[in-house]
Amino acid sequence: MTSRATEILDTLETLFEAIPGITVFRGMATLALPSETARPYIAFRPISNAVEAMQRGRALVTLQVGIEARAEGTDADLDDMLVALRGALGLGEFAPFDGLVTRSAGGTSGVTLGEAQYLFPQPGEATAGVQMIVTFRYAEAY
Amino acid sequence: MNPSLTAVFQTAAAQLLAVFGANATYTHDGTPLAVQAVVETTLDQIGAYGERLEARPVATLNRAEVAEPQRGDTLECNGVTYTVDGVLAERSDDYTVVAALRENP
Repeated sequence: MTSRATEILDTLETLFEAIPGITVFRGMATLALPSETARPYIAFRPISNAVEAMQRGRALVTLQVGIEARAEGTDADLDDMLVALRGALGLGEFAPFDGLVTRSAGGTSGVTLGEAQYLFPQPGEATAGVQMIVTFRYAEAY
Repeated sequence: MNPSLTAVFQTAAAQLLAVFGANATYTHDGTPLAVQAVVETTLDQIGAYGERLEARPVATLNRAEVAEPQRGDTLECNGVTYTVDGVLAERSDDYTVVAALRENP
């Protein structure tokens, strides 16, 4: 059985890989990126998975995914990365997670984008980055 | 600190750089200065959700020669020219100062 979380991560990987000129690293592949990793790149991995509510064998689950994009260059380059990330996640008509995520009864969206943090280079550091946590809510039967 | 101890450590820093360092030219505001420098590459881990070891050139300099490297100053050592990117305060002390560098293209 493929878990819903894996389906969501598969979808994320496909969406990010569709961004032109980006290298994508997922899960374990993010743990020791080669120093010569081509930039810009996106790394993402699940960071938590919690059951919010349970009823008759069905659970409402929240999956948090940490996403980090890195580029060499200016704040404009960083913002381009953020726009590409948010665009890939589908904030408008395009809804790539339809059928995978569940809007809660209270109206909470199935996909919640956390605050993005800009990471400017420290002295000598080659890359700037932007990080955010995205929360997916979905229902799963056990 | 006791002034005589300060002098001892200053002498020690100069002698260590004389042994482990190389002749280099430090240029601030267009004024070149002959110095001793240890230029090496450090590896630092960056990233929270993607962890990468990033190689960075750094230079250790004698504070008696270069008290406070400034961003944009240059260092020429062993035929390579670098631009100072900033001081790494946590790796510096009263006698030596460590500057992060970028190799000039």
